[in-house]
Amino acid sequence: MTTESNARKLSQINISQADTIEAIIEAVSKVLLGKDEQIRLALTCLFARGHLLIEDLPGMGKTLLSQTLAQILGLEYNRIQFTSDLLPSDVIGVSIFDKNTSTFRFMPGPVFSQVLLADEINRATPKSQSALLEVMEEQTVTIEGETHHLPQPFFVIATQNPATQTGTYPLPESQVDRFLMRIELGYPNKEAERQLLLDGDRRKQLEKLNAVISTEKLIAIQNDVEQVKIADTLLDYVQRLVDYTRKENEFAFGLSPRGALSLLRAAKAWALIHQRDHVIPEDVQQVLPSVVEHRLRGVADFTGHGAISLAQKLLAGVDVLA
Amino acid sequence: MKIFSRRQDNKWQHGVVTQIPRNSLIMLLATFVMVIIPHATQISFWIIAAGLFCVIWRWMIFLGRKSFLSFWQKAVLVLISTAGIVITEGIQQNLETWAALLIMSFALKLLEMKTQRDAYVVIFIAYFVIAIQFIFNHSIGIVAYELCVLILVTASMVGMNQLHTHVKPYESLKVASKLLVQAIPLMVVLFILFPRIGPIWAISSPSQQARTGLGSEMTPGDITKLARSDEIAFRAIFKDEPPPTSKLYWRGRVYTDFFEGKWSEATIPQKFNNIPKVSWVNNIKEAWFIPNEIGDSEPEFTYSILFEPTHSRLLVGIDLAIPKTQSTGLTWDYKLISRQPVHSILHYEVDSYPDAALNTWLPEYARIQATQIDKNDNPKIIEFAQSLYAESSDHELFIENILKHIRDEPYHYTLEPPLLERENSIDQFWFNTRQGFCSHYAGAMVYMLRSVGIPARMVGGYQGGEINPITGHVVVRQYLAHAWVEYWIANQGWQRIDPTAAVAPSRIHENFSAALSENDLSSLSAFTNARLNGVPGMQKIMFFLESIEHRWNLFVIGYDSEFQTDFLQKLFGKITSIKIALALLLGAMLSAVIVIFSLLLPNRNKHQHPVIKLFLDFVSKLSKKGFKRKFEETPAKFIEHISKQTNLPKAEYSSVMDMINTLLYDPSQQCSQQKLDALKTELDSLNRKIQAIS
Repeated sequence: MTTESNARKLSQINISQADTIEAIIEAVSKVLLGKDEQIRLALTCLFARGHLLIEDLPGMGKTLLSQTLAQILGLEYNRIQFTSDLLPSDVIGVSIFDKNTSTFRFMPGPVFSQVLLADEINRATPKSQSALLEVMEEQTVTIEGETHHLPQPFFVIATQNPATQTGTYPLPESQVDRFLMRIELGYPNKEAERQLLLDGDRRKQLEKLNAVISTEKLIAIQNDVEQVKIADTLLDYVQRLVDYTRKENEFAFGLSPRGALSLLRAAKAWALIHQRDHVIPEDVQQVLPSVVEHRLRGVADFTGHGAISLAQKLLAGVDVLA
Repeated sequence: MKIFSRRQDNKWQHGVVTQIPRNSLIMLLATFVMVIIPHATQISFWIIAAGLFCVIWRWMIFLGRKSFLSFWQKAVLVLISTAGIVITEGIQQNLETWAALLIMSFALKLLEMKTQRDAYVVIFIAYFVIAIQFIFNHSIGIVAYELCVLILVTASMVGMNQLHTHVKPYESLKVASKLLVQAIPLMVVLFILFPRIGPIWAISSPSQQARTGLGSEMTPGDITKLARSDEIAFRAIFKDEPPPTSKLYWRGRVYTDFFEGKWSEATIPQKFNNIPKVSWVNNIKEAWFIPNEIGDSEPEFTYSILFEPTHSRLLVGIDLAIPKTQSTGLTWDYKLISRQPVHSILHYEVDSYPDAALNTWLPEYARIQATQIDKNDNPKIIEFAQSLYAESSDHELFIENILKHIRDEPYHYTLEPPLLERENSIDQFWFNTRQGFCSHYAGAMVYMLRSVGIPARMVGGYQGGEINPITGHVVVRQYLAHAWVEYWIANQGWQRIDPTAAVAPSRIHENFSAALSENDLSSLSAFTNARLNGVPGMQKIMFFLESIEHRWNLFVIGYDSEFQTDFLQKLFGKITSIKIALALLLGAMLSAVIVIFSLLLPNRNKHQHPVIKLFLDFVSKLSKKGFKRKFEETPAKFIEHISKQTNLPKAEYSSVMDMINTLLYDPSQQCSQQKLDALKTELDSLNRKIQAIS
């Protein structure tokens, strides 16, 4: 396919899907009030085929957001509440002996679904957390030498409490890196909170929610994300950003190539959501904090939670143009 | 062991220990070794070895195999090393002892270097030790070496400021080199302007005295020792063409006394102290030993000499040498001398009158001294001389007969003469061995002249010189050391006669190597051989290196206060403090300009996108108006930001924003010249609008 026909195709799809995307955002923001920015970021993550990590204090609407997203996107979802005694088999499934056939039968775990809501993921031990490693990267489960494929699309939407809270285990770096984005919700603004107080429990609305798009349409949007174009000048910028994290002393280590790819993928999805068929630096800047904060660590930062200012430093330290 | 001590005052580095990082420590230790090694030439070797031992010890401490020393252990070490220095270096107050003490304490400091603060102290001492090296030696080689060390020291300091996980030696070296390059203009200006304080650097260091050159005493064998050295004695720059080598008799010392095979300079009896023996440059022409006719006549050669340090006051010149530089003078026996011992290269100017008569009148004591011989020593040659004199009708024929004897009999000129005994050494040489160097022939001749009552003496100095074809100056090395004879005739004064010319004419008329046998040449070092008659390519390189060193000596080391005053006067006319201040300011500004340039240059990308170039031009125009762009501002954001600041309506700028964004970031858009021109006009008009509003 030539570039021109690609562009034409994309612009056609854009027009038809722009409404869909807006509709999704509107639907989600009816449940989660006053969090348009976070909703857009979450959608960006899902459209870019990435896993999403939502981190905040308890009671900020993390689980609500993840459930709403699953429901509105019309995806079949399973929810696991991670606890300290959760075992890997509780996540991926287990083989049991069938008395009738005298064979072992694989009982798929909750991971076999389109959306896995991993609630409070950092309350499980690293062993159980690691059960998700293969699932998240390869979207397969290998158990007793047999590889099982997961349904498509597949997302992990995980929520976690800040690591400073009691009874939490920090996620291993290898797993953190597999999340495309980490977002924080934060307190609602005054208006939204008043509305929230007036309406009462948001969960009632959850039941009324209908799927806004079909799975096919979601996959089509995901494919469109890949078609978003990138200019050399923008690649230069992304490379400068990555270089900066590797060279500057305040970063304990630089961004991995996977981190760089993730940044670009998220920027593409963000561009698509904003109805553009090419990425501009503003897209990169918008998604950058969510994509890189959980992958970076300051040299003098042992908890790994000083990265918020690092992302700001990264943006301020790298010239967009040259 | 307190390696992981955590210091309270480093709160800014939360939780980070202030131990010296591994890479910094390695750099620091390497620096230390580099800094102390050149000092091996002037201090005892054991101190250098102790320094290296401290390096290894400190490294063991880092590895955890050894621990830091306790207070008492350190105190004992200090006492032992101080005692060691006193034993090996003596207790004279010379510079070497102090340098040894400094380096010893520098080494011991390594052993108590725990924190970064200690490391900074070590770095600062390192700078000081580098400076100390220049007191002893400032040849171009050492300066080049110390410059490298300077970069290394600075790099360790840079490394010390990097975070401990990110110490990158290569990066630090780059930064350090950059820093030093930036400092060059300031250095040049300071070099030119900073007052030269001579005497402070010329503190005597007795252990080095008379290490090179001609001594005040000489046995004939001494000069053959000098002949094996290719060290440079001095360089001469002639105003005109250098004269032929046969005329280049550089007078050094005058040896009058002979005792037990050893020649030495005469001491003047107390009662003759009323006759002035030295005349300094200012009133030199009135001195009694300077012939009157010199007063107005033109000198035959005018030249200046860059004299290598000998730590004695003696200089050289071609007879009759009239010095023209302050603090130099001429003795009554025509030796050039300096007021202070020469501890660093001395640059002086001389006029020479080779035809002038020397000492047409001689004080009585001098005549006695010049005819004194011990009748019991060397009786055979006395007899020989007297019979030869009886055969000759006058002085000149007598001398001619001596030379003829040397020519006709099988006398040899050699670098390796047989050793002579103390007593009857001249007899032994003249009648038995018949192999000798210049001093043997000169000595024998002086003896013969004296035995018939002609006042005679031996003159030691240098003969000849190599012309460097690149700069045209004459290089005189130690192997050109030479001795010849002077005899005195009333009213005509001292006459020079060189018996070496009889035994080896090529030594005088060609060069040193021409007079040497194969055997002699093979006893010299390979370097000397290569220099004397070696491979032409090698010779060329040597000439080239020599010319660099010469220019270095002439313009950098020779830049003394006199040179400085001349140079500054040429540069500024009359020197005023304001002019000096302005020049200093200029140097500082030049350095600053280099800093600014090096900061700006890396940001200029050579393969810049044409749109980015246009946009950055636009930005730089606006920045003059105080609109600064932050790094993270994209073109669109920047335009929006300044337009909002100036209350420009959105319609005025949104089209430019879109244009830039599509041209820069939409790959499907072709960036044609037409579009670029359009963008340029748009940007220019936006610029005008903003300028008009603000």
